[in-house]
Amino acid sequence: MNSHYYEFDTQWIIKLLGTLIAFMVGGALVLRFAAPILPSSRNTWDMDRTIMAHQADASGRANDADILLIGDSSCLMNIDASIASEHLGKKVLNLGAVSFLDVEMFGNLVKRYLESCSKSPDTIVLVTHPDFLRRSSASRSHVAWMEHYLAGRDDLSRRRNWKSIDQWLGAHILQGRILKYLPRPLSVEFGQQFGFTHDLETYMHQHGGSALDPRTLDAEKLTGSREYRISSPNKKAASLFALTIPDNSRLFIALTPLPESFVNAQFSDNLEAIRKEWATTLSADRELAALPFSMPDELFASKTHLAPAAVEDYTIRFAESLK
Amino acid sequence: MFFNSETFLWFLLAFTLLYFLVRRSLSQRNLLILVASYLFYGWWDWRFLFLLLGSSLVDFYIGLRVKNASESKVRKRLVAISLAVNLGALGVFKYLDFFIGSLQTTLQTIGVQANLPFLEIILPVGISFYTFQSLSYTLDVYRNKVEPTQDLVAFLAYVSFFPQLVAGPIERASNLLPQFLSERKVTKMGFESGLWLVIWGMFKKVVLADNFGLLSDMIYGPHSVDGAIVVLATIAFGMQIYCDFSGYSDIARGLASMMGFHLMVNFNLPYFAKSPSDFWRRWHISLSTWFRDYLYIPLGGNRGGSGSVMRNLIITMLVAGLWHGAGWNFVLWGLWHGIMLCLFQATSLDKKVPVFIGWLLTMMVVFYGWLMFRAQSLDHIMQLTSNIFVWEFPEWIGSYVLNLVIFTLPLLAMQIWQYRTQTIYPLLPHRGWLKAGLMTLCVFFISVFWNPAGSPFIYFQF
Repeated sequence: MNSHYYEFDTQWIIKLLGTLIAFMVGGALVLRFAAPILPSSRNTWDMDRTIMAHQADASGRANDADILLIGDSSCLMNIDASIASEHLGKKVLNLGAVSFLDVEMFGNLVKRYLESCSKSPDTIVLVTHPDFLRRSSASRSHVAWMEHYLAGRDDLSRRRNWKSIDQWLGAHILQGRILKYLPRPLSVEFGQQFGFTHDLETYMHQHGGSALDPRTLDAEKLTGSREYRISSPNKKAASLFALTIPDNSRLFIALTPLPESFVNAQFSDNLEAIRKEWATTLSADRELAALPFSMPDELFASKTHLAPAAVEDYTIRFAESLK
Repeated sequence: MFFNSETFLWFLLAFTLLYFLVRRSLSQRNLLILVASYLFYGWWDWRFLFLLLGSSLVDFYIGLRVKNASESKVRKRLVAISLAVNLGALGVFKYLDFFIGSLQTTLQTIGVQANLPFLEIILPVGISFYTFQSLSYTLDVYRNKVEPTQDLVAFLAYVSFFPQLVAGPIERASNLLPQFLSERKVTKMGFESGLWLVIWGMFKKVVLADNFGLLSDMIYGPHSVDGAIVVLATIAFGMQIYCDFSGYSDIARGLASMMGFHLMVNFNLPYFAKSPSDFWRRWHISLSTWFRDYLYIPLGGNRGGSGSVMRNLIITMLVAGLWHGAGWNFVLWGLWHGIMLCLFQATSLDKKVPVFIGWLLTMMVVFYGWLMFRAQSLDHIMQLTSNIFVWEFPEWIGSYVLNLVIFTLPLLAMQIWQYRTQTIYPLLPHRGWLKAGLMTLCVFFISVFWNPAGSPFIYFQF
């Protein structure tokens, strides 16, 4: 028995699908040609991109901070710049971004900041977590996103190959130039703490560039190696980072803490050696040695971030160590 | 393998090519559908293929034996075996741990410390759907509504047909099985409407449901957010579950239609319902008619006094609630709908009030039901319910409302169009460029919100 009876022939199918494909190609071309006259691209589609866009914008604004903080997400989440400012009586700006970036990108942000300010900060502090130091590579998509954003181009940070139909269609143009006005809900705990992407930016703006991690640490789920070191890409990038520091600014380095239950017996000695090596590689003026390498589990939101309740005390300890 | 994943796109491409190549033989095409369906299901966890195959084989052979058995007692015994196998599998995989947990809690409440053993096995995706579909076959053969088939491949393909295997529509053998046994006709209208249904279903899932999901998760998440925003979050969840589930049904029906199959309509503008009974005639139609035919009517249906009708309604809705998930919130959700169906029926409330008020009351019943459905426990239901009356809102309420409105608008526009034209395909009679334009617009927005990993459909867990 025949399987199917078709009421149409191949020509009809080609016409049907061909029209659809022609419309898609037409739409993609319209988007590309219209892009220059559309609003500038700012694709803050999720939390990471919102944070990166905020810090990139902040690095391009004249701020004239006395103390500039730069680093990974532990810099962003563990130190509240507004509390530090109040405690020190000096203007503190936090440009800490996300851990998916690399030291080279931190250097680019500092460079951009110095170019847009009339005076250099007295102190630049590079704040990183030990997990960041041992990581051998950054997230390519995050770095690419930041590069595109700083260059004022549309976000093409996602996969770029023949399979990325979304980018062929110009989804990134729609996201960055039209839908940027739509606040996006943040993921569960961050959503409950901050609300939407726009609200997170407002919070960061009010707190000198700092944010908070509202999650609760589940110490039993902590995973990963307990051996720490500085990866060679980080060492290589550190010497380039050092070149961005102006002569009239001092470079300090700080390592952020880990939950106590995660660390082993040799941990403190090991971390002390790493901090020294990191300071030497960066030709840093000072290590913030008064800051602890580990803290009680209940003070953490995640392995790398402190809980909101612990941020104030930690920030004051941090500010004290700067004096 | 989700419909909204990259893997499925590859699977579909390969399947379409092969489907075209074996177009001359019905049995070869059925075999291809069977192999593709088992691959589709086994992609998630191959071990559960044995469950799917086992349950199908039992029903296939029982169907043949029931037909040949002359004695009523033997026929009944055979159907009982089918019921025991299908519901037994469902009970073990879906409900056993729930009942053990409930028993343990009850024992603890009366002061008995018991450490009962839990099975802790994962729930096979779509088990509630395919067991009901397979079971309906033996029940219909027993009732002489369907002729048992001798074509094993066709029967296995009917039970495992990949477009509707894991989340329905739950097809009856009387509708779908004959389509595997005779030449299928693919019309221009069927192919075009299928293509539109796939695109529109994908739009509903990727663009609407997933964004409504982000909104509802913000409030129904692990930490409670106080205040009446729970009302908005419940609306968001109601929209999410509708777009998610009806989106799946649309994709399933669309894919089937492009292959020459006709699956039943599973949703018919449920949020336009004017009474709870009207809602159940429009929502998950394949399940509500299943329960009507195989549970409500055998219990007595509308026969007898109002007391027995109400009893039948409440039992049916309680079982329907439990079908959705092993949790007391689902039982409560079923009970809530059962009570409301009885209340509206006893008072003829929907007929006494203006249409708009009837609709509003129905939506309040339905959406409060969604609060129970989405909550994580009975305590959570109590907490969320009390929040409704706390007139406090977070600072970001404006953004919340804006998102809710923006993602509701396309759905509302399409549904008003469908309602006014009284057709599911209001687009089809229009000119080619309008159809292509609207489909293209949907595709663009799907690409904007596309998550390459695919986010699971809500009903997969049932």
